[in-house]
Amino acid sequence: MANESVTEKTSKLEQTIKAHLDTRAEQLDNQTRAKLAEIRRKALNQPAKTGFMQKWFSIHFVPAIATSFCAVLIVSVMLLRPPESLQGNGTDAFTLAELASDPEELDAITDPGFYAWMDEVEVQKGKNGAV
Amino acid sequence: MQAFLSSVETRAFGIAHIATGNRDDALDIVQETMMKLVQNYSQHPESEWKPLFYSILQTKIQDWRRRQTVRNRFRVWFHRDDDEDETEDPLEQVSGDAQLAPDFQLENTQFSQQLDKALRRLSPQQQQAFLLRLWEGMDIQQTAKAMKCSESSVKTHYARALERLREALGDHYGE
Repeated sequence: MANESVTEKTSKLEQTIKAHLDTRAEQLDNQTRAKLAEIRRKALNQPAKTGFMQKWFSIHFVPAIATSFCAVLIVSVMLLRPPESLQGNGTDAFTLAELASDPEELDAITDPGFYAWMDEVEVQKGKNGAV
Repeated sequence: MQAFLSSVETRAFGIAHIATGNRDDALDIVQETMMKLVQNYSQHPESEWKPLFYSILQTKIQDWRRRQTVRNRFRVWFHRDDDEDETEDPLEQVSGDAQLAPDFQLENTQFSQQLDKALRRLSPQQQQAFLLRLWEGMDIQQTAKAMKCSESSVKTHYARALERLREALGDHYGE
């Protein structure tokens, strides 16, 4: 019963508010009505944005510009600060990777004699440097 | 489009006016809404115009609220000593029955005053859900689309709005 009463009151309230708002809208003064009509005319007389180019620009142009900007930014940062892997000892790692990709070279670097030879070369370099 | 705009302009102005409490601001909001609808969505199917129109309207009202909040922060900042009584709430500042009277030639009943105050005290979402559902007659699905929220949120906002209005206006509708 209590719920029913609340529903009835609510419904009556909704009807009262709606009627009140409708009355307000109907009694809108002429000056405001004229202004609204003018606004409507102005809106209807403007050109609609429906051209292919505008659509294309809105869909593709902005993401394309953003992607280009990001690419330029990344390349600039890489040029100014190369990754550590490309500096100093990093180049050795790069050379090893290159050797490992070739089967013949791979045989060479897996042969223990190759490392003995490299040690000799290093020792020889050290001697020359000391001199 | 002309017929559609004519059919919604009065209520759109009413909704904007309730939200802003200012005739000129309400007219500006309606103008921006109409311009955007015609410019961007006139090629859309007619059935989509109504939710789109009210969605734009609500966005413009939100923008207005944000601008008012910023403006009031500056006002409070620069006139802290001069206007100590000035409130920070933009809606409190613009509310006042005197501002409504020239725009709507209404009889100044107690109910009218209470209704204006009660509607302005609702949260923006409650106000939006209530006015779109009750006054504009939009169904829950359309309202959810216009408000960019779920249908259950619309139901919740509407129920809460109604409850608050019932509390505020209980004495004025023959309870």
